Amino acid sequence: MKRVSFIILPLLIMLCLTGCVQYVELSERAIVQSIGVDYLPEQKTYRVSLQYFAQSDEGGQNQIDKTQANVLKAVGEGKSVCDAAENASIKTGKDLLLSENRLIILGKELAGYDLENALDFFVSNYHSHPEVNVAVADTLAEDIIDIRFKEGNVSSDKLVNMLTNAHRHGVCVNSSISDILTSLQSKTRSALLPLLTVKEEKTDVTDSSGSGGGGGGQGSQGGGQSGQGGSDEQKEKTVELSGGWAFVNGAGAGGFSPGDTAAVQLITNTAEELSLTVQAEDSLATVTLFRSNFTVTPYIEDGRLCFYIDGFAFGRFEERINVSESDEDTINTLTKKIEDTVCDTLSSAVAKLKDGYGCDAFGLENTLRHCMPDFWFDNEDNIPELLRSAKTVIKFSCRPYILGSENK
Amino acid sequence: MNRISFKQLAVLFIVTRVCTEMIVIPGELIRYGADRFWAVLAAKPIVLLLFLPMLFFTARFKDEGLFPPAVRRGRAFGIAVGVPFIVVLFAITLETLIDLQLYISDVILDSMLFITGAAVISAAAFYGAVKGFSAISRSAIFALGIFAVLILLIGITCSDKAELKYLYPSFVRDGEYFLRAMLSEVSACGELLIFAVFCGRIVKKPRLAVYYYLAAVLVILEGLTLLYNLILGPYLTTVEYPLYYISSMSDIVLFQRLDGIDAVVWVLCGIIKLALLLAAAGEIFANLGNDQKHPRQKLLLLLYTLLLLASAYFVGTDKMLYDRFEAVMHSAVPLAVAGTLIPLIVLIAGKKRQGAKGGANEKS
Amino acid sequence: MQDKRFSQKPIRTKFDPNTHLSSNLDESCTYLRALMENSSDLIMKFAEVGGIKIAVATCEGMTGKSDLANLIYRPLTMSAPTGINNGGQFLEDVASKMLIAEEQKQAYTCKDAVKLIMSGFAVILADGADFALAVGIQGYEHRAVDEPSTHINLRASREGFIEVVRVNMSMVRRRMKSPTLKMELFSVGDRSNTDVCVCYLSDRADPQMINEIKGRLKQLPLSTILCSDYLQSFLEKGGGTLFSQVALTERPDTFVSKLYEGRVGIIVDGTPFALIVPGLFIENFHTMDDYTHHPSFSAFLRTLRLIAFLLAAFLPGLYVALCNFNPELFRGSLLLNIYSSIQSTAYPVLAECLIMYILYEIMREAGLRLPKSVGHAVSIVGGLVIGEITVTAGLMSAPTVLVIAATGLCSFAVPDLYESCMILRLLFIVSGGLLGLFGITVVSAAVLFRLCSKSSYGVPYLAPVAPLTLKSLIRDSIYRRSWRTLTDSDVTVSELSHQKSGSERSGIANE
Repeated sequence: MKRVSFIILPLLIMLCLTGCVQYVELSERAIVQSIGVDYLPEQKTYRVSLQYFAQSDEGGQNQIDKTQANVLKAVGEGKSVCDAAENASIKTGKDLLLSENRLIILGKELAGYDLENALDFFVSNYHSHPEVNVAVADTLAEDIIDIRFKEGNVSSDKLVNMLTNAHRHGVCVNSSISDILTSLQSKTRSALLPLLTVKEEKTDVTDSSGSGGGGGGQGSQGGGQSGQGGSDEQKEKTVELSGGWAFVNGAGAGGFSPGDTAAVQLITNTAEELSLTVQAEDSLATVTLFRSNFTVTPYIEDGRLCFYIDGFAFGRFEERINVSESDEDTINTLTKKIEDTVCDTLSSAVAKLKDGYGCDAFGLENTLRHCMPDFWFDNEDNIPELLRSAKTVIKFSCRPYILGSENK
Repeated sequence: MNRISFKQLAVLFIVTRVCTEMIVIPGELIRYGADRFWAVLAAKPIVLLLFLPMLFFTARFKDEGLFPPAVRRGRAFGIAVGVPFIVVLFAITLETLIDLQLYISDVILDSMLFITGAAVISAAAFYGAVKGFSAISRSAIFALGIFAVLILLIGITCSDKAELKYLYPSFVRDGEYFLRAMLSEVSACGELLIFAVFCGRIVKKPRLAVYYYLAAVLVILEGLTLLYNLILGPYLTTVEYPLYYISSMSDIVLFQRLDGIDAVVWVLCGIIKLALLLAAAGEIFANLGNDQKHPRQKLLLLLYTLLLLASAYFVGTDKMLYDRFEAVMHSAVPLAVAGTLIPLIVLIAGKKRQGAKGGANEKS
Repeated sequence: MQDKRFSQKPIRTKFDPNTHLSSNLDESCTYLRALMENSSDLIMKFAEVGGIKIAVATCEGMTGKSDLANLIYRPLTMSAPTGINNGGQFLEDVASKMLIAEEQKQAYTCKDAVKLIMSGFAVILADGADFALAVGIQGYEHRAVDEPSTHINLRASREGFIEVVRVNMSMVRRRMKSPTLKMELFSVGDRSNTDVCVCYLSDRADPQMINEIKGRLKQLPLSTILCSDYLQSFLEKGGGTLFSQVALTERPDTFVSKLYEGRVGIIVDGTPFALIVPGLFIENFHTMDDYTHHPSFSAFLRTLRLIAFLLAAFLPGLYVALCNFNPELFRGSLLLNIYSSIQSTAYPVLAECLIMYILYEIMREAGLRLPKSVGHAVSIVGGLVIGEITVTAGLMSAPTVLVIAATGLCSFAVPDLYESCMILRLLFIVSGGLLGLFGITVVSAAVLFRLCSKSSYGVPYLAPVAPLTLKSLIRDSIYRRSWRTLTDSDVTVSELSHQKSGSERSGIANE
């Protein structure tokens, strides 16, 4: 037995060693921070632009140098997203590591095609994080990738933080890849993505217009110099969140406004708080809705599918307004205004997204299946049409608190 | 001869069955919806039915595994029932090995050669088999503990991702899927064969191990299905390894995501299961050879492991062959033949020990 | 049955050691001198007492000089029995009528006499007696009872075992004044004739276990036993590779507490470390202080030690595995920092870890063996030069140095498992470096199988966790119950055995 073990064990060890030395050292990996995917219809090719982490020599050996633009850019083109990413990887000279990729930006052109296909590459890579944010660029995704921000550890942190913060304030839809892929599994294959637009403004944000694509090292250098030289007087490129882009049947259907985003957030109970402005006596007042709770109830009325959307939220006035707590009439008027404003916003969003695009942005299908499973199964094949033609009744009530009010 | 309690056996079976759920049952059989809840529920009485001959066997032949009574009837009879049994056992071991290797390549180490992974796993499992049945059963306690901690962590970190709207009350909607899922559930209970081999090693009341195991597995599998549905919703249908995917969304601060840890747990459980299957084969060799401690048994087990490795290479690297093999294994027929039919034959034709009175609890 | 591998080498002497002592004093003295080959530490003092020629043989440095004078020479010359013509009768009278010392033995062969002489006895030979009277007046120099150098505790006793078996026995007896505490002394080792004392509580220890341990000690094939560790591998099945089921302690209080749990203790002469059989894995995380602290604090400390052990074993392997195969598990900014650090280092992470680890072990070894004053210099060299300069020079990355340093620190938290940790760490570094988390899992599985298969004298090594014995688990494992309830639920180690916990005992104990 021992003799046999002596023969077999070394063989097994050798076998293991021959197969297992193919690992990639961490230093030989490019830690991707954000990826832009564009489709170029003329060439019928995909373009993948990536920002990957660059270790600056000036930052000391053991820490991230936040004073430098610590990302490099690489661009690759190919017949598929995977192919393009491979080419980009070849340009970087390193193996792509997608685990730290926190943002996937899809070019506007690509948004017209199947979203699921575009995201397949990221889903199939087991290093890739399932909570990575996905957004649509107003023009080319590469334009956004070109911009280097100096906030955060790395450049992409700024955009990710912007999306997260906006989502918290109810003006950006939840855009994690797992949520998008889940919503794409519905019969309507709907999804909502935030829309990012490049703007030129006077800000402290560094412009990297000098960087361009391709050369990673040059890009970094150019960006840094440009930022140092021109951050005071010149207009700089920055990125702005301007509503979102709705997808139906997996493909882009159209854009929607921040107001629509707020409505989606409210109805799906994903907004932590939401600010809106109403007319209060002689001035405008900002009300922040919080602890909102919406219930959607499906029912059949005269053979037609209807949804009753009933919501409630507490409100908090952010400014001091000249209203006494005992002045019930004024408070009721204000409450009515808030409720009307919210109802208008919700109705407008429902009309645009559900009735207009046929996009199930409000999770109505899940609600229907949850509440009326038999109806759902009986009409499984007609769900998109049924949802689109469904009637919605919206009711909202609010209880505002007037903080810091002066008693007359 | 080491013996264990029925509770230990139940723990061991729970670990191996849940491991099968994670790595052997293909993702396509874990779909969104209520059908799988019913499939899991319906499978359990069927599994209990399959266990029945073995339960009667344990009542008739106390403190004995399936093969000693068969060998006492005649060596030829013993071999006649032993060979088909060991073929099915080999197939289940092969399926587990291939699936474990594929799981590893899919989720944790994609750059490894198939044969390398299979060889390393087999070597560890062989070592476990040599260390014995009680060592394997004890190690299962740790595996179950880690699994419990993992589920707890996932539960805590993913609670905000659970969406109650994904649940809906429904009975079986897709009959074909239900049948496939149920058969798969039944065929996943390879523990039946292990029980047949090792039931003589249980100190008392081996049947309780089966009851505990079935009840616990029912609760765990239904719980897992609920977890999948709550967190993944409709996306569950497209996910190959649901718990792995869920754990990749779990941030426990120490680690950014739990998927690597999840994979580690199932690889560990997979090795325990393989070791158990190999130990079962070793036990059969010992029973049929009527020689418990001879080193030749170890050599035979080593050859069996090498044969397993070679078969895994041929079946695992040929997609078409692998699919056919999987189809046969998921039909539950091999399990029914080896786990029910053969025990039934031995139950009828097996010979009691000389001097053993009916129902007397002999000490080995 | 004695293992053929351990066949003893016969002691070759020029004189037959089994030769009977002669009734002629001169002859007997010649025999003894011949057997000891005129060794210069054999001292023979001749005298004539009551008309009988006697000789007192002692070994230089093994007897107390004042004891020899006060207990042997003075009584023999002042008040020895008189009027006896027979030397044999004389010695018997001395033994029975004179209160010389509490330990008196008779030797009939040269071998026995020499053995007694070398054990510190004064051997009295008389002309006409064909035997010798040995009087125990051992008075060799030994270290005073001192605080133990290992297993240091804050609130527990400051006494540690010393090298003298009898002093150690007295320390044990002082702590356990029970009539059931049995101490059986016998010599093992053909040449060293080392005194070994087997201690147990006869009403709590399993008799089968006691007999087996005594049997093993008596059949010990070693010629010389200079340290208790020599016995360790003979007391457990398979020699105790990686993890040992024989616990070592330098503390008499720990020793006694283990005896109370039904274990068998073995004190070996010449070493301050006593053996306790069987030892459980979980006990490596226990200290005497745990029983003086509040139970919840003890539980916290034990959990810390467990975490320290896991970190000491797994951390470098995990670090290498994650760096090479699964970097996605690192937190974002941690990954970027590690990435920044390893960019300009000279070696791959696996090599870095191995080099740092080996350097660390060398430093530890060097610091351990050197005099304390030089040891400080080693610490400076290690801490400053190796730690600081390798990082600054870009030879090693800071995270690797940190990981190895943290690992070293953790391994000191569980000193009993240091050796096991060392080997496991190396295994995990290599397996993690070659196969990532998969490699670590495979090695872990093998180690788990190994640990789970270990059981000696019927007690599984991983008890009470595997197999699960709830009563013991909640009594005193990671969490210790308070003293009020601890005494209500007494558990002896034999209750953890396979039989008692519902399964059959295995291996050697069953044979």
